[in-house]
Amino acid sequence: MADLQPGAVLSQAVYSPRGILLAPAGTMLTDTHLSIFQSWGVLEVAIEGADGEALVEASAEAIASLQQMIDDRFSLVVPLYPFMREVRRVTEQLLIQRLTRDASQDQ
Amino acid sequence: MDRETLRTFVAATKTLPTLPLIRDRVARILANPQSAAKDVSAVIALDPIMTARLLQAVDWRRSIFGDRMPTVNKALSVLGFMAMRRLVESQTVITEAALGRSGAAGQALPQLWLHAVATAIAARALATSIGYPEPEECYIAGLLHDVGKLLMHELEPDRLYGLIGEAERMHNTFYFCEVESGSPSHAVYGRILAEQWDLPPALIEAIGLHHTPNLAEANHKVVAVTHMADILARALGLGSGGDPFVPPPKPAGLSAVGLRATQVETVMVQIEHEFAKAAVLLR
Repeated sequence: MADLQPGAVLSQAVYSPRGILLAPAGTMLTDTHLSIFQSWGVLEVAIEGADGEALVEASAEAIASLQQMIDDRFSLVVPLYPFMREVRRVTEQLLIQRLTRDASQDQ
Repeated sequence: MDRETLRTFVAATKTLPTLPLIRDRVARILANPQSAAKDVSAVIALDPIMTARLLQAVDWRRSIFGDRMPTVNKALSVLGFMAMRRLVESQTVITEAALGRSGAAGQALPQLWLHAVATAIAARALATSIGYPEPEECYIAGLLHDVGKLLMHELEPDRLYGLIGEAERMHNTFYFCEVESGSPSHAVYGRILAEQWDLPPALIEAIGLHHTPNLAEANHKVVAVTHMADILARALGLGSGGDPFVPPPKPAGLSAVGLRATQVETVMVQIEHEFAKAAVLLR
């Protein structure tokens, strides 16, 4: 998934995880929009791409640093057998959910 | 500290101090005439220290409990509110100075408590998933599994904080550093304490062998569940046992629990959900 860049145009409205409208469809995004999406915990947005609508990661930075933390946390589990691979997968899933939940609670 | 010296010290240790927040909360609920037993036991069940004291006080061998370890709620019902009040009044708390030092070490003590609760919840969730008939027994085992670290904090705080720092430098677990040091680990500390306090055998085994489930005998299921629960609690980062790592599961622990990979998600979602509720009570 590509990173969200300023200048991209929203093909759909962006809502916060709690349903608050942050930007309507058709908005051309600025840096301000991007940092608003970051702090409201928006994970992905739909933009108008060259080949039609595309889903783009809005908080790539937050997710990347989360994955780094999880890699470190599991660094002693070598090799990562199927059972622990599943534990790691679910960990990532739940921690991303926490990100969105915490972000929407800060409002 | 060698085992002999440890035994001597532990023999003189009637109780360990708990977090002021927990003692005060239990006292407040007990003082409220509207409180139900389950309100009180809900908070006691968040504290390894008071749960252990409750088990001692209620004499878990009493026939009223049959062969099983009582649940916190059952034990409290048998002991009664009056006796519980006296128990709480005599419960010591960790000093401001000690809390200050813990704060400087990244809230080491409160994080140990949160890890205990997370492991307890994880143990119960695992036990339920694999159809083990006594999930509440596993809850208590998970809650008390690291009581050896609380004993270490009481007797040798420098050693505890030294090991936490060592784990960070070595990029490995607290337990790994303990074993490297050659001195008895928190599992040994905990076992000696649990024996001294005459806790149920299943608990003594879970406390003493949760890092070495391959050595468990009579209670190998509870020990294995505790071993895996510790791992799941660490994976989710709920509290801290002194380091941020997930240790690789011991094959004996993994196979004795027998949880399938397809069950992992359900169990972990449940742990996350239950811990969020319990954590509210600890704030």
